[in-house]
Formats: sequence, C-alpha cells, structure tokens
Amino acid sequence: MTDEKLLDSIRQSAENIPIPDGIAPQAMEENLKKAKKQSFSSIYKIAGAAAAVLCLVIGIWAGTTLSRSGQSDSAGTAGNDGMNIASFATQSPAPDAAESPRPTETPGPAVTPGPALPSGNAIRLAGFSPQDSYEALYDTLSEISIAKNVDSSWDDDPQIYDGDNVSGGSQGTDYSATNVQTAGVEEGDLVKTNGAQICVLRSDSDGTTIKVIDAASMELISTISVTRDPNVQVMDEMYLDDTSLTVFATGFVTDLIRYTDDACDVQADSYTAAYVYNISDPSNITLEGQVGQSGSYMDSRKNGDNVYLFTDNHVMVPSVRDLYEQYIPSVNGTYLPADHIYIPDRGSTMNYLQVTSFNVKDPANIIDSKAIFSGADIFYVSSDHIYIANYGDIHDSQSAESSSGGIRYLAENSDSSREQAENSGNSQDQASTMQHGDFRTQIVSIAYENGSLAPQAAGTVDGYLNNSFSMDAFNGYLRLVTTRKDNTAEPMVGNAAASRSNCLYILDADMNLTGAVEDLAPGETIRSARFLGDVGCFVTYRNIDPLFSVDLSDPYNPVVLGQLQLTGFSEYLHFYKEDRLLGIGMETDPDTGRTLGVKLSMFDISDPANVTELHRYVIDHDTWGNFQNHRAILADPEKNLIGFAGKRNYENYEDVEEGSATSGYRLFTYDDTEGFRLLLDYNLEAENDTHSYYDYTYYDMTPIDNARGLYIGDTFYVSSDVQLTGFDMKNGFAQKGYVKY
Amino acid sequence: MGTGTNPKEFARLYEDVYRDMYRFALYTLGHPQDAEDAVSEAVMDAYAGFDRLRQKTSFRPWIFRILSVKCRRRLKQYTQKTVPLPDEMPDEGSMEEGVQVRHAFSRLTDQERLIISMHLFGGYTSQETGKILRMNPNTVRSKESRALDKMRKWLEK
Repeated sequence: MTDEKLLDSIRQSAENIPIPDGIAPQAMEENLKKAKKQSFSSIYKIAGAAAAVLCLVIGIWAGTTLSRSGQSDSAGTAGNDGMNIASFATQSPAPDAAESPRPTETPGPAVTPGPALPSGNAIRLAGFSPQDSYEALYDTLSEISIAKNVDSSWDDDPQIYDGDNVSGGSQGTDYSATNVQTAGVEEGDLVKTNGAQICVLRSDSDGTTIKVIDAASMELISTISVTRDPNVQVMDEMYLDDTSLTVFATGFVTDLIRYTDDACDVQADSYTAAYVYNISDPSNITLEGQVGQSGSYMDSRKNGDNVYLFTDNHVMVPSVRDLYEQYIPSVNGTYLPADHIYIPDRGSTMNYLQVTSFNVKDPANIIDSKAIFSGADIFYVSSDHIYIANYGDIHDSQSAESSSGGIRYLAENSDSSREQAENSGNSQDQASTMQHGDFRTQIVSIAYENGSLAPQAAGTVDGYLNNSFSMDAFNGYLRLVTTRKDNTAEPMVGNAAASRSNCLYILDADMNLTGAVEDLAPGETIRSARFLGDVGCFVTYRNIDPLFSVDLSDPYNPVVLGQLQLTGFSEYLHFYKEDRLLGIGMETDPDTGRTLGVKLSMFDISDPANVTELHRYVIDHDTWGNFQNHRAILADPEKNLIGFAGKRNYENYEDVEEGSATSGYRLFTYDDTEGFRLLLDYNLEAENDTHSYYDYTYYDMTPIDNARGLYIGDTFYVSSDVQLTGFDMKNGFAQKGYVKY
Repeated sequence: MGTGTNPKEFARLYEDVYRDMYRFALYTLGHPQDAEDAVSEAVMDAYAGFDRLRQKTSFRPWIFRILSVKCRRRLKQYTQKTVPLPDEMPDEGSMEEGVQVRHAFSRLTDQERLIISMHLFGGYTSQETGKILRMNPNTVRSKESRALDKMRKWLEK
C-alpha cells in the first residue's frame, strides 16, 4: 500500500465514526448563548481565554512568519489560572480613583554655597593633567581656544540630554526596580516605585511635574512641580527610595556681561540642579536640599545613598582672566580646586564633563566633584568604577598629532555617535574622510567609593561602542566590543557598513590592552552585547544576525566560542535564568532586510560554543519597540516577566485608519516548554478620549517612549503619558483601577 | 469580548469544519470524551476571538490551530502510553478495514498521530505543520513517512 492509499484509508476509517451531539453546530450555539448569560466573572474568564487566543491569531496572521504563539491555559489546568490575557479592547475603568491632588510646589533653586572641596591630593590620570592653579587653567584653556580658532559666540541651545530611565531587577523585595546595567547601581528614570508610592515624571503643557501616587489605593497624593523657577527648562529623571526622591533638572540662566559701555554679551549658561525631597510622609513632601552645578544633565547613578551626577559644560575662555565663572567648573557656588580639573595632554576640547557626588541624606554638603576636559558619549558604571567613553579623533600618547582641527568630541548621545561613525564614510568633508582611521574611542575610568572620586586611567581602542552594554568590568578588567571602519578597505560612498568590522578588547585597570580579537563579522555592526563573568555575548547584524559568544576567562587570550546565525537582530540582551539569554529585537527578512516585526528570543547558552535558540516569538505586525532605552524594558527573571512598549500596525482595528500605527504595552512570561507567553497586551492609545489628541498616524513619536511597566506584589502597573493603570496579576490581568495624570 | 461576533456567521463556518475537528481530536487523543471537550473548548475560544479574525476564509486553519493547541496540551497530560481507539463500530465485513486501520493508527506515538491528523483532518501542509509544531518540514514528512511504514507493517500482518 502506498503512503497515499494508506492515508486515504485512515481518512476513510474516520468517516463513519459518529460525531457526538454535544459539539454539533446546534448544540454549540446553545452553549455559547449560555456562556454569555453567566456572571461577570465567568464571562471574564472566557473572554480571558479568548483573548489568550488573540495572540494565537496574531501568530497566524501574517501568514508565513512563524510565531511561537502563546497558548492559553485551558480551564482544566490545575493551579495556575492567573495568567490569562486582559481583553485589550475593553477599558472598563474602575470608579474614579483620582482625588484632587494636593500639590506641593517647590521654591525655585537657590544654589547654596557648600564647603570648599579639599585640594592638595591631586590624582594622576594618564594622559590628563590636574591643574596647578586657576592661572594655569586659564592659560592652558586660552592656548587651546586660540589654537582651535573657536568661535567665541555662545551656543544658543544648551545641551540638554534626555535622561534615560530605568528601574531594574528585583531587589529582594516584591516590586520591580528600574532595569539597570549593573546590579546595585541604580539609574534614573521617569517612573519609579519604592513599593509604596509610584512616582511619575512627566511633561505636559503646564510644564514638568512629578505625580506621587499611592500604589495600593491608586490615589494621587501629591504633585511636585518646579515650574516656579523660570530658568528650569525640564526635569530629566529621578531616583526614589523609601525616604527620598531625587530629581534632576536642567535649565539655563542668561546673563548680561558688560565688557565696555557699548559692548556686552548675552550669555546663556546651562546648569543642572538636583533637588532632594523627603518623602517619608508622602502627603507632606518637603525639599531636603539641592545641588547645583553648571552644565547640562547627561546621566547619573545612585549607589546606596550616594548619587553621582554627570553634567557636560562648554567653556568660552573670556578675555579677562578673573571672570572665573566663565571657565572654572563649580558646584553649589564653589569653584572646584584647580587640581580637581583635568585637561588632556594632547588633543583639545572646550567641553568638560563634571562628576559630582552627594548623599541624599545630606545633599548640600557634596562629597566630591571632578571635572575632566573630554567629551563623553556613553557612561558605564560598575560597582566601583565610572567609565566614560568618548568617540572622536582621539590621540593616544603614541600616535602623531592629527593635522586637522575642529573635531567635535561630544556627540549628543550614543546613537548619534554611531550615526556619526556610520556616516563618516559618506562625509563630503575631505578632511574628515581622511581622518577615519583616527576615530577611536577613549575610555576614562574613575574609581569611586562612598562618594569619593579618583580618576584612574584613560585608554583608547579602535571603533565605536554601540551603547553602554558594549562595556563590562569584571575582576579588574574592562571588556569592550566595538565596531570600526576597516582602514584597509576602500571607502565606499553610500555603503559605509560594508567596510565595518568588529573587535573585542580587554583592558586592565591601567587601561592597557591585554587581549583582543579583531575583524569579527566583517560587514556587520554590533547591535547588542551583554557580559556576565567570563562569558560575553554580542549580536552583529547586516541582514542576518550572528550571536557571538566569547570566553573571557583569560584576559590575555579571549576566544570566540561560537556563532549562531539567525534572522533579524537583537537590540537588547539580558541574561535570564541559568544558562538562558533573552534577546529582544526585530525579525527581518533575510533576503530583503525588511523588518517583519518585533522578536523575542531565548537562547540556551549552557554550552557557549554551541548556543541554540530555544524559543522565538515574533509579533509580526509590530513595527517597532522601545528597545534603545534599556530602562524602558522590564526584564525580571525572578518574577518571570518581560515587558516593553511597542508600536504596531493594525489593518482594521476599530476606528484606526488602515495601516496607521497604534501603540501598546506588552507583557510576557517565559518557560522552556511553552516558550514566550503573552500575558498582557495593553493598548496605550485607547486611554485617550479623542483620537485626535495624539495624531500618531503622522508622527514617528508615539506614546511608547515614556511608557513603563512595573509591578508591586500582585499588581501590575502601566504608566503612559496619560495615566497609571493597574492590573490584577492574580485575576487574568483584569484592570484594577487607574489614575489620570 | 469583541464588539460583534456574528453568531450566524460563526455557526455557518463551524458547520463546515466540525466533523473534521472531532476526527482530528479523536484520532490525536484517542479518547472520545476528551476529544469532545477539546473541540468544545476550541470553539469557545474561537467564538470569543472571532471578530478579530480578519479573513473569514482562513477560518479553517485558524480554528484548527486552536484545536491543535488544546489537543497538544492534553497529550502532555497523558502518560506516554498509547491509547487504543474505542472500537464503536460493529465488526462487519465492510467495516473490517476501517477498524483495523483505526487500531493500527492508535498504536502510533502521540506525535505521529498528531502529525498525521494535522495533515489529514487539519489539511495542513508539511510546511504549516512544521511551523506549528516547530519542526523542520522535512522532519515532519519523514516522521509521517515512518509512521505510515509502521502502520503498513501492522496492517499487512
């Protein structure tokens, strides 16, 4: 019997089996009608189960792209019935939980002069010199500015940096924290919780405010605004612990500088303020203290009670030496001692990075502050070191001085430094085209402990860093992966990526190179990286995505262990559970490179030489996810939650126009058997009362940038631009309530 | 729930597939009661999600996908023994072959039964089955082929 005939006979054998009456169409109609009439909770369960199918539908939907679709817990499965998906079309609000807020307004900033910083114990930073005196500082800066022929008009726009906000991993308490790179080193974010309150930093037409919400009751307790100070432009990000709330704000002051009777300058000087509030009694929030320094906010970290603030400032050397305020870094009205100011021995820049540390319990008395004349693109902070990376035309002590001048050191963020690097191949500027080979990344390391800052070393490597996750410190060694232009390749206009290759470098505590692997994945660029102890994984991409794993146990001899080729690419990697690596990114068509949707991958890295992809989940109608900002991602292996906001295209979603984008917050869980399972698919735009309020069809900006997900105990919260919504994790993510901002 | 599941439309589409759905479940699971439950559950889920089904022409593979999930869940709950199909039909000459075939089929492994059911009753190609079960389509074909070989041996005895 041939296979065909055998199959036929199997089919035949089934033909005459009677179909039970219970599932005949007539009977099913009755069942379905009955189901509808049951109590609300039962309907919810069915709807929940149906919504669980929704992701199944989505999975099939785009036809050929495989989704490892989520599977619903069948009603008969013992135990876990708490993880159904909330029906995303229904927004049944709980009774209005928002009481009239009792706003607490803060007075404007007054920079309180603090005690002078101790000087006399200057620390040597290789390649940089601490200054002997303000005179020396002035002289050196003057020489540099003349040599650079710097345009002496002030910048019109202060450099305002978008604060990244992250709350990460569990801390042994049952609420989520910002997703951070280094465990124990907190990073600032827009949404924070301490298990009792949820604070949301947001901007609207009234300015920037912080909403303090009691999590359990979903009531707005207080609103903090700093709008009284006309100089404050924007609040950047914040930290929250049990007793204090620290907020950073950037503003600029304009001064009229009169040189002579007829000549004066209007000078706009950016400054950054840190306001520390006491929130022990959330209904009565008081300002505990503040720290102010010149420059605009770049980034910050919090380790224990100590906050480390990074600002960038630009100096214009005045014609008169004693106009100190124009070129000497200061904090809280006090100038930094000269030997706390470092100028590179070679190379030149008018920008400086200032690092200031203070304790939230006593903010007015800052602990330390140092300024380094260097650009700063990317910050990576380990438990005991601050690493600052700067991409540009860097001179190390051995290389000949570059003949070109006027190279910008400071890119606005790592993305644009990457763009700068990638576009450098297309540059029309002859000089910079020829400088490609000199574009390198300089790393400055600063040891920190209990607020004290000790600049340690500076080193250089080839290429540029994708983001802070491309660096990692372990056992005194710094590991980095960079993408660089291949100097031997012909510069190809319009195809900059073709001449790229990627390198892994290991530096010791003095920033000397101990080991390297170069020319990895030629023609591709690094899209994500993550290190854990002796293992490093990184993803490069052009049209397919190799996931590399590297053995870093010997800093003098790193070894690439394996490569896994996949379609699409991961933008963010997170070590999930034992031997598991989570990748979040995009799926692409290997032939055309066209993006097919958001992709979640779980890799088995138990054998780093043989990494396999265990599960993959593609949301094939999603066009984009907020993965550039790691702080906006929720990745919590202990609670087994993966959440992020994404933008999708629906073709016939209710009133939304064909092909237009909508945005949603998605929450997943994972296990090795079922793979990724969708727990919540929350439509952020359904919150708006009118569709025209946000016209997302025409803008790339959607409300996903500020969306955050977090949990406290068994309640999951999604914060959007509009409101905070609570979901009951034990009851199928049913909406528990919401607070409109 | 969705805003407008048209019950008449649903019923009409269901009418076309319900027999094959039951056969699929029965042949995969080997238990008529379980098969009926699986179909019931799949229909409930499908009904609730029906308004989100964009192209009604894809109803069949869509609802079979739901059903295969229900069946696979149940398979996991069973122990690995193969369950003999109940022999409901009388042992008549004309039915002889059918009974024997069903019996041979029941001796296949869970996965083999699932693969063949997806092919025969679900109407899936090996590509589609491969995607749903996360197997290479070649693997699907070779598993099916080996399963049929086994059955052939048993039937030719």
